[in-house]
Amino acid sequence: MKKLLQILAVVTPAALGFVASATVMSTATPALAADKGQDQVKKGLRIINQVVGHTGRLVAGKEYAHVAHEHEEVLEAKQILDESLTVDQKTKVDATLVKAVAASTTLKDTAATKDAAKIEAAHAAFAASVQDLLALFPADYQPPPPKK
Amino acid sequence: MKRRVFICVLPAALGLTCLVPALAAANKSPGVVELNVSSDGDFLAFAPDELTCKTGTTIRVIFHHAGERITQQHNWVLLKPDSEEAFITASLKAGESMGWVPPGDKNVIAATPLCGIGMTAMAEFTAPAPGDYPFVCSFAGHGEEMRGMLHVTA
Repeated sequence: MKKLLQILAVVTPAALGFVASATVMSTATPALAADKGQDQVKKGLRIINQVVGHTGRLVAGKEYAHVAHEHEEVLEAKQILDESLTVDQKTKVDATLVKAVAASTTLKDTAATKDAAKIEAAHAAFAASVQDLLALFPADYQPPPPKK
Repeated sequence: MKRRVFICVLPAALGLTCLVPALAAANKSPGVVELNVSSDGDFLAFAPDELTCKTGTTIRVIFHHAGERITQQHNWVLLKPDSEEAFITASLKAGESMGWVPPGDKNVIAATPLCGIGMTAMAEFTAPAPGDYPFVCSFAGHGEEMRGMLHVTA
């Protein structure tokens, strides 16, 4: 009996500590995951917005060959958003996100024609579609302005 | 004479520009000050975007492409003050085959080669006269956003 009490004296605090830690972890983990998810949403938005700026400069410099690669970045940003948006956010923004990706596809395809006027128009449409997407998010999700 | 094991790229064009083997950090030379800078993850930015050193010091900039998902290449190019716009125009003309760095460009003080995701490269140079020296990524279309400043003190 004495030995059992000795064992319990050692095991019980450890077990209680474990249970307490597990409880704290189980409540904290979803909150941390949610924060991380929203950071990823902001990252996806920033990437897609930086593609607008980058493709704008490529188009202005007639560096059309690199525009196609930028479309891959848009697809990557979409994937980040698809992985990170909450159900409510997805419901709200999905159609606009799909339109922005479609506008990027058009820009990529138009860049292959090397027709400057058409490419500029396609870029303007892409930029507008990304602005529509960003407008669906609150201020703290907006990408920072480019450093000059 | 000490032997340094670096794989040099474009040595004639860029003088002291070298790719860094993974062991470069361990290959520290006395009197050389190392400055570490990376791309800001997947964004068109440097982290940090401000560096400081003393004039006359031998500087080794170790540049790391810290991207995770975006595959665009980056480099680190140190320029003479207020020459960013002229350099960016010239780098576009130089094109991809020159690594977006015009050979012999007088505005370029030092430059690393282009790096893909996870790669590290270095540039070694003597810190110029005191002043603020801009650095940029010269990949087409990056230089307008991806830039920082090296503050050289007396």
